[in-house]
Amino acid sequence: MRRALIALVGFALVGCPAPSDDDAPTACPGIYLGDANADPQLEIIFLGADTETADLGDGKVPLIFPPQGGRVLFVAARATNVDPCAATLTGAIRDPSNKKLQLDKRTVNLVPTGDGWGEAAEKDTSSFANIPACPNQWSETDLFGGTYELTVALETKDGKSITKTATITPFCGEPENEAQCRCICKKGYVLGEQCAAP
Amino acid sequence: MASLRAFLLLPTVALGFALAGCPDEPVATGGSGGGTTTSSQSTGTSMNPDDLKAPPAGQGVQFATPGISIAAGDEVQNCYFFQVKDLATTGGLDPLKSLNLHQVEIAQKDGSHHMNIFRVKTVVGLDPTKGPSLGLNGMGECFKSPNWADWPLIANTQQDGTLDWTFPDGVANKLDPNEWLMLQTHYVNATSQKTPEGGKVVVNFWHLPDDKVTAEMGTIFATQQSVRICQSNPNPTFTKSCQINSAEPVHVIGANGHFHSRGKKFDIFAWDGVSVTTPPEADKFYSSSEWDEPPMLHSPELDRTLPANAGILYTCEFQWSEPDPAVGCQGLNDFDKTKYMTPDANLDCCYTFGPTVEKNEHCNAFVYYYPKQDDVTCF
Repeated sequence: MRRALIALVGFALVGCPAPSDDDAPTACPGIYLGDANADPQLEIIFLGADTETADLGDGKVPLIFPPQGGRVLFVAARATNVDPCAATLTGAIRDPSNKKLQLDKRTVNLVPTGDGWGEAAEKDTSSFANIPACPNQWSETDLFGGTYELTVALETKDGKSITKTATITPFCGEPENEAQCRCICKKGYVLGEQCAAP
Repeated sequence: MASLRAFLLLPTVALGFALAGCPDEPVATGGSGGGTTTSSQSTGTSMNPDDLKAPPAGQGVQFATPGISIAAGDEVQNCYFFQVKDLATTGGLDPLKSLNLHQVEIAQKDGSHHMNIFRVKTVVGLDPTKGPSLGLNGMGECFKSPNWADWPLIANTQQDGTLDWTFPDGVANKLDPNEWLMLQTHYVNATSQKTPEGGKVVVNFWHLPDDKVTAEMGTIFATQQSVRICQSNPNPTFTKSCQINSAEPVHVIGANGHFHSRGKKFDIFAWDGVSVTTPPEADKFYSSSEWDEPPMLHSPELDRTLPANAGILYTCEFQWSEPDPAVGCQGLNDFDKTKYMTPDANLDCCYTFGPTVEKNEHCNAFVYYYPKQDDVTCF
């Protein structure tokens, strides 16, 4: 409901007719976010364990148990001066000690937030990059508590692109799954190693 | 404060499961003395699985699922379990020693959607000691992928007919005598795929003596389950990385991708493990535009060397289409609400990850390589 309200506000602010409740969406509305002639701007956002979208803030990003298993970081872009439809979102984390990274890239529609900006659909994990952090078969340190470089990039259909990087500290974000998180996200985890139940 | 975990998993639990009677037991045979084939081709041609001869005694093992009928409109996914030492005994091999899998032959009846064999690790909802688990139309433990989330891949095929693949000289996948294997078979008898004569799978694992093994095979099972193919985002592409974490170069010798009928292109690239950008075309070693009979590439035709500390990148491109009338947008939205608790405002006639061919999508990569660093699963 909140998202629908945000979308309606967004439509109203840019002077376009709002869809009626009866209209099933058939295509991305295509309402340009911000100024088409201005440089794109991007802020990194992430999905918290409480299902709420949050700004990067102090760089602590939760490792979350997704439906597919393992642990991921749900990160996305909040952007303006971009075409919101069918943008390519990239999220990646890099281990600075060995330079290896894990990434997720996907086509998303940004949802207008009513202020000329748009962002990942609230509570829709598929509109966030699902960065595959664990099982940790790639990093030389424990994923939780370590320092990693986060990259979020957005490429739009009209040829604009913008990339931001930040230093983050992932942490096991769900206390009820802490033991398994710390097991499969630790340095040297071996697939199939006995861990606590999720 | 509601946790995201509850938000994401409650519907899975709520789905529950229904089993259609007691499962038939799977069958292990062997030592009957059969012919050997040396071809390394996936024929994709029809073959009655009953015609697949077992390896001669001491050279390998044969195991099979029972024949099952698939009613019109149904999707059946069954999980059968076999312990390696039992197979070894039946096949005339030493049950106290590893089974060194060097050649795999799989024959299955037409209509198979996929057939995967995994090593059993953490037991969650599928317990091999309790016998087979039968699933029908998305219901049952055999349909729930978290149940085998850390179970390494051993072999798979998605084609009707026969897979016959001999690994390179000296390469074997070592199977411990005490470990359990899960054979998972998925048959569809619906609009998009037909199973005219029932389902059955027969598998031969040919053994390589210990003194001839020079390298172990490793496998990668990578699954991108956070997919959404919607009316308002009708042509999405999903890309994901998977690290092998090997200190030395490895040879990729087998690969195939799996998606459903909205899938238009499945690509797998050699990837340096450090670049954010998608590798160039020259680094693509697998591509498929056939959702129902995707190619299974394997050695000797496929032998791609990856440098140390590299991995793979895989990409699934989809095109939204009107759902089957029997499902309709209502059916897709109902699944989306039930399974993923998607709020009404976000419902958009989306195909999401799930087990049913007609209303769900997949994006899974299966890769085989040597020398083994580790078995790898990427989410």
